Amino acid sequence: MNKHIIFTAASWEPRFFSGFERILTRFTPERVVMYFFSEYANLSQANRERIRSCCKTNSITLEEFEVSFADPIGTWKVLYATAAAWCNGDSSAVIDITTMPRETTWILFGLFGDRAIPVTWAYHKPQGYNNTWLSRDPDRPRLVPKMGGVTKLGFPIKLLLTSGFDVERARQLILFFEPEHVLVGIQTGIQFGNKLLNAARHLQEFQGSSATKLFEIDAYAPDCGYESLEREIKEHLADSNLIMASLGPKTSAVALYRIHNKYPQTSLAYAPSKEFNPDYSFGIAETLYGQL
Amino acid sequence: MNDFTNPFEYEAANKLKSDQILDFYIEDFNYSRFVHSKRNIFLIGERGTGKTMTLLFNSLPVQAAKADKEGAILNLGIICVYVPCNTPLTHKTEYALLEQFQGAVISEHFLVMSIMYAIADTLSCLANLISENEAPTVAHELEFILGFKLPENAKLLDALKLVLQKETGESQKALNAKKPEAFYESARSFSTGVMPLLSCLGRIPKLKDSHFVIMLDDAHDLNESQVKTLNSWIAYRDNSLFSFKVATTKVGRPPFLTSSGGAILEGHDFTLVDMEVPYQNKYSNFGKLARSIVQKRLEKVGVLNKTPEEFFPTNPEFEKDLNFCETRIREEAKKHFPEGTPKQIGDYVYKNARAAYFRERSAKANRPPYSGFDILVHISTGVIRNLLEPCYWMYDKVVSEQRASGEATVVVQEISPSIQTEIILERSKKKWEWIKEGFDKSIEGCSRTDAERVFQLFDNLAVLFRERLLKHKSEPRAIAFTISETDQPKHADLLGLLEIARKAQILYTYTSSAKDLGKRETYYVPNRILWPDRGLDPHGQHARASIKSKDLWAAATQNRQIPFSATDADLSIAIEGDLFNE
Repeated sequence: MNKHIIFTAASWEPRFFSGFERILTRFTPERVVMYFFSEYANLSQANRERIRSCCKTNSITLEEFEVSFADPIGTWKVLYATAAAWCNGDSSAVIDITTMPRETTWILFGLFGDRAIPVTWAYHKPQGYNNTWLSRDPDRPRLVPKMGGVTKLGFPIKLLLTSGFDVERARQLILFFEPEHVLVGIQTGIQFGNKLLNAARHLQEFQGSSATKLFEIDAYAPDCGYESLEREIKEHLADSNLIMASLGPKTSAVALYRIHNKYPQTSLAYAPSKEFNPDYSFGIAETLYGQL
Repeated sequence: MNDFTNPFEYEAANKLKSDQILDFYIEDFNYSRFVHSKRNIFLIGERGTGKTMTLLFNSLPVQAAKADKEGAILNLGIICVYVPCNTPLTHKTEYALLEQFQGAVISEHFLVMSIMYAIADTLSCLANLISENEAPTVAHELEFILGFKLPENAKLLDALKLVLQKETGESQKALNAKKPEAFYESARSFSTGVMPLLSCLGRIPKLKDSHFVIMLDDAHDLNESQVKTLNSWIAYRDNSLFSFKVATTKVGRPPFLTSSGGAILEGHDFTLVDMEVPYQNKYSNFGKLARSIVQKRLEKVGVLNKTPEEFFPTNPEFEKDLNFCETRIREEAKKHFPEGTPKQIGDYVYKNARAAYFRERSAKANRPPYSGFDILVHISTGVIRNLLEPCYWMYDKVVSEQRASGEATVVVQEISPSIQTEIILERSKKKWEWIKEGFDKSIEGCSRTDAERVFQLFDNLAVLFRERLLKHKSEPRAIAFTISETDQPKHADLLGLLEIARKAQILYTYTSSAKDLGKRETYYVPNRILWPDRGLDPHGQHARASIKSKDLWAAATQNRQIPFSATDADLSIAIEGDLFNE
């Protein structure tokens, strides 16, 4: 039987610790690897202490590693070292993507995929999000190390986005990469005011533009929206350099990773923020699990 | 709006096809003489100032299309090769995982491959460049010197493109391996890639005397190592075979350091060309350029007998009221200067006539009916994209209304003053809303606090400029400023805020002569689209307000009103010529 190792990224959100406890009801890990980001070390301190205490009570080895949004290269090296150190032939990784930045999630997925380590991902939906703001102070968008794809010289950029609550983030990526064409996957459903706060805003922003195609995606479906995404990108693979970014439901990052894994010429891009709302979300609702 | 052509489309130039570039580009006002020189040139300017368009217009494929269209002979003495830097290849990050030297090698390799491919791709637009007899010799030499095997059954340049594509793909795959030390051993440098390629191409009789201009666009996207490498190439001063033309933004412009730790020097190693030229009125160089651009675009959609002024007419009431004010102020000037020269009278009218219009409007009146081509030129703040954007939305509005009313879509012959006013006010309001609500979500490095401070700063500038417009004795329409008393402790922080505003293009900077002869100083021009929402006149004048650094900082951080004096001494500035006319 495989040994389970849980990989998680510390957060101040209530669902971080509640979700961790929930994962322990399903898996009996040998070890927990918890990353925490320097920029939010103070905010996540209380929850990290709770994880320490919980691991101690359950006799689980806990390893903590400090990483930084501002240093993606340093972060990659830490993730590489930890993934190499703790996962081998008889291990399987359980990655809690709930509060893990997409860039970190993708890097871990890639490292484990490269080593053929089985991965189960977990995502805990919150009961709700803060309705004022979620993130702000954007940093420069960047390609994820080792996942920047294989660029074809002389071909135009096309950008695939899964949309979220913030149209400005989509605009920022478009301004940065200046794509010839933009594909925007808009989440279906009414959860978290999605119709008004996501779908309607993106329709208003992009509908009517000949350079943009809007399509529906359900990132909460069992395939995380993979089929919809694959259907949309196929015709663009041969004649463009496709850059993909997830701004929508976290689970859409799972689907985008699978697309990148199947079509390694595509690039994964990450648009970091320097500030997150201390009251980002509240409560914990359903937990989704999946395997890569 | 997919099935009609909006002549004011302002999409990035790199998305335009050769024929569209020929259609839209105004050759009279360009920097072709610099691009076609053998000097190394840096073209600097913010987004929308025409850098890409200038480079693309001069690129060989567009020049070939132009020659073809005009039935002229294409001159191959200067071959301009367009190399975009905003590509996923440039944004790749794997180099940073390597130790510094290897990282520099890989960074140079990607840049070199991009240039080599661009050269091959550019030349492949010439159908009869190489004869069947010449091709085998050149191919053999390329294979021997560059160390690859060209695929058979493909034309020479197509084969070269294929092999470069393959090599670039292999190097990326090697770098993408999930190991920090992943490296590509066969990386090319400028001296093992671009130079031998150019040397081999020189064997082609039609290219034996050609000078290659390597035009790197969006160089601010290059990584730090690539910037140093590029500067090292620029420092190589034998420009007989090739030279560089480098386009970059002003804000975040790459430093001039070389790989060896030295620096390249303006005047010595390169010439710097500022694409943001100050402008004042529709008769200035920018005014003429704006007019030509709009005229050409109107002609392309079949509006053949109308001037831009006729297509964008001024509201008749607005015009009448302005004329009335001008007549009245002229009479006033004659009383002030009974023995005055025409220049004295003219200056007085210039400074006060428009201000009188704004002063005499009722406090309860709606916003002025902003309209007319001249207003659009001023609102653009000297940036072509800022000129086209409101025109685009005005045109779109007219077509939308045609459709909504069930009318057949016909060529738009005029944008009514009411639609002009509506769109100008709408775009102005949106700009303020963006500063207030969207800055910290869309401008890199802008925190919520920064966003609030920038908003308060511009809000207080608007209040100051309004006060001036209504009350200032000599320079009421100054809507630019300089900063004085810069030795206050928070001046660096203030410059940081202004940098954010520049990045967002709500502020532009220029340098000009100061009052002290011989000195140059920076002056700041807020984007004039901001002013209609505040009832200000976007039609500025040749003057700038001098504001103390501490007052700007207090306006930004404490929302404190900037002190105003109706008689303060402002800096009158001369009308700035452009690069060719100074």
